[in-house]
Amino acid sequence: MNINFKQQKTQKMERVLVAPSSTHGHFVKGAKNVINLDQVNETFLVEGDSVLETDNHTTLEMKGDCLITCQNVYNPFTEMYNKSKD
Amino acid sequence: MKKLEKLSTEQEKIMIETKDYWINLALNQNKKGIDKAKFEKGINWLYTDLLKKDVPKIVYCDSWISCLIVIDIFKKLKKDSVADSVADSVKNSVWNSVWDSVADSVGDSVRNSVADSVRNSVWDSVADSVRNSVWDSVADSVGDSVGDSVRDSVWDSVGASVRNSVRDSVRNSVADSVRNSVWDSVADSVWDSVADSVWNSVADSVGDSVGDSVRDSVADSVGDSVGDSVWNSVWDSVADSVGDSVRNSVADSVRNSVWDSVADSVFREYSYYVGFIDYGWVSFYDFFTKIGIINNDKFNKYKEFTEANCFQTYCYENYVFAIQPPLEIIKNENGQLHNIKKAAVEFSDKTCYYFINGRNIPEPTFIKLKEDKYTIQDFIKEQNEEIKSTSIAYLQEVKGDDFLVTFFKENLKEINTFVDKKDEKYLKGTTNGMNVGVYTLFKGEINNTNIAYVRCYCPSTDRMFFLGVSSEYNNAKDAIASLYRIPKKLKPYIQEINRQGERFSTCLTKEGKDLIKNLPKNDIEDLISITGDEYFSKIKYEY
Repeated sequence: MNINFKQQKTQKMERVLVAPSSTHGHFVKGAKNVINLDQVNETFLVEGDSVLETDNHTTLEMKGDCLITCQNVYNPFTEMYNKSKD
Repeated sequence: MKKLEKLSTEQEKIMIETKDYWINLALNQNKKGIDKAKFEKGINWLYTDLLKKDVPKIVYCDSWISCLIVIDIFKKLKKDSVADSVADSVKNSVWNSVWDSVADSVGDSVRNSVADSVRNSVWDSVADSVRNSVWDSVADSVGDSVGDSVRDSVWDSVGASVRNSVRDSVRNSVADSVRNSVWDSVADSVWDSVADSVWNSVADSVGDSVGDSVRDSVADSVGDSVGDSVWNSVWDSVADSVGDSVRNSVADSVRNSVWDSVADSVFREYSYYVGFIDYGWVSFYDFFTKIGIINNDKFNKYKEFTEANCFQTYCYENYVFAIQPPLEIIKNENGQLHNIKKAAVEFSDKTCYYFINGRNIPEPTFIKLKEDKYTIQDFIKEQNEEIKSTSIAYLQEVKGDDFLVTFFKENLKEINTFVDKKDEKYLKGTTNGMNVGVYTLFKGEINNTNIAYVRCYCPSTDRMFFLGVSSEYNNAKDAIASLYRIPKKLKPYIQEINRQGERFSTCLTKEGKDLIKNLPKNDIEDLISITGDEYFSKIKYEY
């Protein structure tokens, strides 16, 4: 229910962005701590139970510590893997 | 006091009418623009009664992008050049620092809209301030105390030099005021005041008087419904698109000059009050006002303020920037922004945003699709998977599945399909459709380069994606697994993998958790993929 005024106004401030290059962003909410381990590859260590939220996918419940990594896609013309963006 | 536990038939009718009223206001009355009388009355109330501040000057902007540029220009106003003359300052200082760099990158209508907003508001501000604070008061005093001949004599002998220095010093200070006032956002004050004085008060009253089931029912039928129709599907989508267009689609000059300076401080600073963002919660309490559960004076004023139909407001110490609602807001039957013929959202300065089934697509891509000029090369060149998927959705809707097969068939051959049959419990939160877990590998050649893609479907929305993979793979299972990456040293310790879009969440064993805390940076950066068998033995939830 998004009727809650404070929830509506603050939800994006309380969340930690773990997908800096993503258009819509993926946000960890409720974690004890979120550590950016690798700024280039966007690898994050999330400590504690949390949820992963984004605009265009179902919210993912994350039990305990976990490692957030980014999917790569292959570019045949550069013959390199790049971070997938959506 | 007995709580309201069930709505009467009449109250249910009012509930539907309330929902329709607010949706209609945002999505059908938008062409009328902001009701300036209501808005200005609301700003007076907000600043005077709630914030205990002076009434600010209101700058109306034709679109979100215009507004960001206007705020950026205000923030960059230079003291010295404003002192010389406002017209010169806008022309020279601001134009040189900001305007010239963005002029080639925005359309004429946006340019004109910004020019009008800046010129009018800065000039008016200086003129008003000089007249009100200096000229009028001094003129009265001199008029009362000095005879005409003395006044004329003094004016003739010292007038020219004094006039210039007074004018310049006044203008300097006014210029400071203009510039400083847009540095001091009052977002937090507005937030606190509205939350404390308005929202908390009505929330408590409704909580005391209405049972949970009625509250939830009204929230579903009015608050969430209006919120989804107005805030989620329009405001939030346009917000993302504005961000995208400034960040990605518009020229570097705009990004550098506008985005860098206003992105963090303005665009996402959440000084969002009295705009489409408020329609959900205001409509919710409007219903309880209409059926007599609450009658809160501050809420009633805030409601009337919201009814001015402003799309978005940025509040500063002495300035309020109000964005007119879009002229066009076109949706599909599912309530998503959608138009296959033209922009789904268009502001009056011709700023356009294109959407297919709620997904934003850049204007150049939309035009190519519409004009049948979109090629497989365009598809391959596009780096954003969501835009690729939206392009496919456009082709599918406009030209049908057969065209889509032909579009890819000319360059890609279907090689292999893998179906990951998931346990029922892992389908919770997905579409539970037949496409979940179906991966098909396609391979081909373009300009002597081997290409390969895995077609898959988003389990949350069933949107189709074609993800680039290395052509070395001959089966879809290994090919899709190759896109998962993890630090090499952690590979033996993978306990479980979950996925949300392009982000993986990997749970490690205890040994893995202990290891990661002491893993050197170069080991964290050393990523490898895993085999299809390894990947699909660990993957659980996919959204």
